[in-house]
Amino acid sequence: MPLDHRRVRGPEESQPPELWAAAGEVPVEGEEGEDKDAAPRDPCDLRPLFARAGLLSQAEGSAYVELGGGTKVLCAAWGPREAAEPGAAAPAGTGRLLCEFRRAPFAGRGARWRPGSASEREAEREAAAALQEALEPAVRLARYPRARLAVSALLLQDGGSALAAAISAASLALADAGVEMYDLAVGCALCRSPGPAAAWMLQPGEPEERRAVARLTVALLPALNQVSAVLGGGQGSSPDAWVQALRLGLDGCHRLYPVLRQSLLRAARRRDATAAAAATAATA
Amino acid sequence: MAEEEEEKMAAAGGGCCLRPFSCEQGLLSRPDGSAAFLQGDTSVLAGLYGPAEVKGSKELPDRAALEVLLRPKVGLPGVVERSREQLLRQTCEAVLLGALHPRTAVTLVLQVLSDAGSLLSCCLNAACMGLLDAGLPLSSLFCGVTCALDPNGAIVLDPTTRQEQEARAVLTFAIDSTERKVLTATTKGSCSVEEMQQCLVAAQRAADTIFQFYRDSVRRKYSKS
Amino acid sequence: MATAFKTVEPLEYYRRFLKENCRPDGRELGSITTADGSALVKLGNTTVICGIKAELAAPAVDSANKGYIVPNVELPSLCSTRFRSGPPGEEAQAASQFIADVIENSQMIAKEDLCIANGKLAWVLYCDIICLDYDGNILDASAFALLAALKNVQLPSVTINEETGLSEVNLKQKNPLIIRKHPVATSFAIFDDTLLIVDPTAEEEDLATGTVTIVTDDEDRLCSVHKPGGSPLTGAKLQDCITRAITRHKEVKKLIDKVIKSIKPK
Repeated sequence: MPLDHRRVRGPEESQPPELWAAAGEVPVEGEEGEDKDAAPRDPCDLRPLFARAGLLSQAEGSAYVELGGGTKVLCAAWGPREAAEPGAAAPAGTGRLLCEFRRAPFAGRGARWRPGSASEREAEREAAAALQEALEPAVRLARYPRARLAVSALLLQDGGSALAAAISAASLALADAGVEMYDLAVGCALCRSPGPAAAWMLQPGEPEERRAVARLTVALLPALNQVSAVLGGGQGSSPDAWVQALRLGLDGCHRLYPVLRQSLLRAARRRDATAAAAATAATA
Repeated sequence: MAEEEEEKMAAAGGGCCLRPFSCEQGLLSRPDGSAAFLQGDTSVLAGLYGPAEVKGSKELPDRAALEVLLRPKVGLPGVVERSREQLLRQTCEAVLLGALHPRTAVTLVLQVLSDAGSLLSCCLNAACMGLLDAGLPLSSLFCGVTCALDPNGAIVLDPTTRQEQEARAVLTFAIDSTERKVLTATTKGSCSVEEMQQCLVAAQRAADTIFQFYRDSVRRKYSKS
Repeated sequence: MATAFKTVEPLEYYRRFLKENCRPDGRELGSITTADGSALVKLGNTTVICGIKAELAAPAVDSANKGYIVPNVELPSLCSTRFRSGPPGEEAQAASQFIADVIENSQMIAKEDLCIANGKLAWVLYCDIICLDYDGNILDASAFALLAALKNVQLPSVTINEETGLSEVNLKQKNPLIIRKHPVATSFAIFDDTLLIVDPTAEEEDLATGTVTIVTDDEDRLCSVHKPGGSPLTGAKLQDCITRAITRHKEVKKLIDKVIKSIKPK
């Protein structure tokens, strides 16, 4: 690995303490152990989702989404501004949507993710491409010819279903920035545990996601009832099972939609209130 | 036109001495200004380019864009060098009358030739002599002084690497030539507020000696050519 | 936040979720369970998060009885338009170096404390400080976040098995770090070469002709006087900054103690 000269470097090699845990001790206890003991959860259960828009001061639009299992994603959006290189890649007459998906080095369980390493860059590039794919159909890019819109997501903690949370957060941030959109893109993740009888589960947590044999992330524009992204893979499922999974995922998106809309409304109201307060302060 | 001279200097007060200084200006032909500065066995070579054409994104509408590059003796520059580049750049920006050359670029390259302690102050001195040699308009000169506090609390000016390692704290100041004010300060280790002020006074006193050295060095250069 | 959320959610099951998950304040963002210690600090609009991950490594050959502390400051494009995406730029690197200097100068953690077996095994503390919202004074916020995160680091106990010579980690038994000093940074922006403004915003920093950062510890000693160029100051003005920094240290220390106490009874 080439040395990174732009960061303070530590020792050449280091291992997470879990690797050295005494034999016999479950490497990761806590939620996982409880999961096993608890009755199999309702596959249609959605984890609690917390969304807040317009919380950053520097970004034009921003949103924070947290899922019950501990997934935390922060998103900022800017736009439109002049495209850096005119006419690059984008077809004439439409704007470009630039997506970035960073992962905080401490976001994962176990070993720290090494920022700047080849594997980390690859993972971030892949996630950014998936994010862009899911968001593009929701944004009215034709309204921004020769301009670029930028979305930047930061995963602070990965508790499962991170991409789905990022899609929801990113579309909220874009809407909060006042970008013209057809609809919010709502993301929802599913996974299937090993075993022939295992069912698909909505919004899996990190331990469930790690054990899963098949994973799926869908993004939906609920008002239009259009799917903007389907991203998945895995083994041991019949075509019927995938159809069922897709249906379950889209249903999940529909159920998450009101929460996101409410957070957007609240952000707008908050902004109005501060603007009104500033106006009265100015006249007084 | 290149010339070299050596001078032993005894700073006033406390019996602390600066190491022998030496400076050679205009030794490189390609840059617009250059200087090699020696403090004891520490030496830094400065090359200055500009005011020259600026690349689009770096262009500043109201002043010259200054860039400082610090090259270590071996290896590639890392985080330490980058942080020193910022410090050196902002020090030079404070004295450089960049508003006289808007929409231009000034690049200062500092190459460390050998490090035997007080490297940062040597970089500061080389940078100032380089700016002077390039004939860029400056509001004042500045000089770098490093002070080390040895375990007994005595102040050692212009310490060697060994003295720096033994010291409780090492403080580096950049002092301006007009009012002897502090342009830059940075510290390693911890010290009391009184000790810091004593070091500052010692540095300001040493600055007089260094500015006299600057003057002699430049005078000698121009009287010969 | 949570109460507003509860009242406006239209769907019954979200209400139920929230009642179960009711959180008193915005602190949830600060506690990163995947990290061994974390903290979120807000100074005005400036928001900084620090997550610490502890890993094990062999100590360096020339300091066999010492562990490592690896601080890195990131200023992602998310926090402000002034930063581009990609590897850390000059400001982020200078901030990383500043934090590394503060750790080294203040001796807030004795690296010897991080050593488990001399020459064989030691802790590496990766301290990743990420700016989420950049509105100036990043150095104060970063130093503050680092200290607060270090305060709640819990390291699992490690023993070396005498017979096999292998190390064993007991994840159930956790110990806090020993924090020896509490360095606090106070930054000032210099206006028109004379006026000093404490805790500057991004706009103030842009307009200022220089900045000074003073770091003091519990005994009012100076851990760092960081003035990277800018308007020249007299010794008296510098003294003025230091005096104010010492006063602010006491207030900040009080705040940290209060926060740490509030999260202890979990």
